[in-house]
Amino acid sequence: MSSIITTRDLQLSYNKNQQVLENINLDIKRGEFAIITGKSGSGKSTLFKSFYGDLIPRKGFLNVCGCNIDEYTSKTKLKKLRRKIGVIFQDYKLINEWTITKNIMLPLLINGYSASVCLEQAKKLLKHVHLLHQAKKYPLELSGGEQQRAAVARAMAHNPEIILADEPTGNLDQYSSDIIWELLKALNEQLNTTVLVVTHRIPSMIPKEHKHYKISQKQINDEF
Amino acid sequence: MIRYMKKHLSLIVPLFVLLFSFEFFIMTNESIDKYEDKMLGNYSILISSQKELKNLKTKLPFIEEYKLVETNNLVDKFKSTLSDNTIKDLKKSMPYYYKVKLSYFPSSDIEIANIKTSLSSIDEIQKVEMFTSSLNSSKNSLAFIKFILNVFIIFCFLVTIMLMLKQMKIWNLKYNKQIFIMKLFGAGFLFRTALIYRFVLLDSIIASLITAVSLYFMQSSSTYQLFYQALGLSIGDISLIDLLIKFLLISIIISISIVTLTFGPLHQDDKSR
Repeated sequence: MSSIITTRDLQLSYNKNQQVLENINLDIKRGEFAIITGKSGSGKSTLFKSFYGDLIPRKGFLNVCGCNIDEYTSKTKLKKLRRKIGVIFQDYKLINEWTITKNIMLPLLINGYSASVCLEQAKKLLKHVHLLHQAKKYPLELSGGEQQRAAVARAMAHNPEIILADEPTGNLDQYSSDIIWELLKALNEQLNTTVLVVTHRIPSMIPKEHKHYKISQKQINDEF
Repeated sequence: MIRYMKKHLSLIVPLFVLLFSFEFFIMTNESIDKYEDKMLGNYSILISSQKELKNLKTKLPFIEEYKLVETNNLVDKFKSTLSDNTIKDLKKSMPYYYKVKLSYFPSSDIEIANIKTSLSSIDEIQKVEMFTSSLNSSKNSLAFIKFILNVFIIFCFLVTIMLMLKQMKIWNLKYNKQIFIMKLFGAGFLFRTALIYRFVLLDSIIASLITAVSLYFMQSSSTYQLFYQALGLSIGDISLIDLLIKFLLISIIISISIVTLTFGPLHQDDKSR
């Protein structure tokens, strides 16, 4: 299996004086379900940011979906990379002025699909995440769990090579968390999409064959 | 539509003021220039010479034209009292009189004195007469009014540009999250800012339409035309379509430049990848 994310001696920081992560070596294979855990402030979200190009590494090698990310990476290259990735955040990051359907259509519209194709695909996804009855509602009219299901649907919309999720259940109750984990699991098992979740706690229902990395003291360790 | 206009008044009003000031600038400057041209036509310099003057324009470039004043008719008036021979001698001894038109309007007494000296320095010219004083004061008043109006219009223009930039800053804050989310999924600059461009295009159309219609009715009004006629000037054909096209072009160019400046890649808020 080829790697979808590769890092070698990666160093990440927000300023020159304070390193957040050092010597990060990772190999996430295509089709894997990987989880990165760590305490609050350990640098999980910092690492997550670097995977979609929001934080440029100070040193080391980082390759995501065949794209090397460094300070010389052009914005055009990053745009192309982001079109291959689906991202899910703890705070959902849905556009509140748009309906749920339009939010789900967003990645497809960015990728240049026609409005009718986008709408058709959005309906399928809404059905998949059991939100078809809420299609015309706005994010703020939905519960947290429903908003996150919409965010999962949006991340899946353009059939990405990898889904990156940063604390996707951090704001949700147990029932809604289980639904989100089920959706991510199904996505990995049925569509063979690579899923990388950054979280502080691993729930019991995740697939047994998952890969687990733990961040502590600025380093990352392969747990299983 | 009314709801949209209410929400967008903060951009439509500055655009309207901007277009109105622009047209007002053109109108006042054109009117004053036309009036100055008219005054220039009335401005009189009379010169007398013993010989016929040739190539005066080449010698003195500030002369636009000079015309020989017909004196025979004047002498003929004395036919009843003077003999034919005397009339003949009188016509022979009469100097050549020329009415001179300048290429520009002299704005100061020094300039007038210089013109007089230059004319007197030509050997053939015997005498120079200039009728200036009242025209000069009108000209100076007009120049002052023109200056004050231009300063006021430039001030209006700058204030409206600042108001428009302020509105862009508000929209930048309002749509910041939306733009960030679009960026996360790899949206390009035009996709991210399409909504803002759509807003300014629509606002430009509304502002242009309002300004064109207002100015059209103002220029067609009898009061406006009476003022123009009182100055002895004529208004050309007023076309609503021409006004609208002109305003659309100006407002679209300015508003699109301001959006690009505020949301574009050069803006510091766009440094994040």
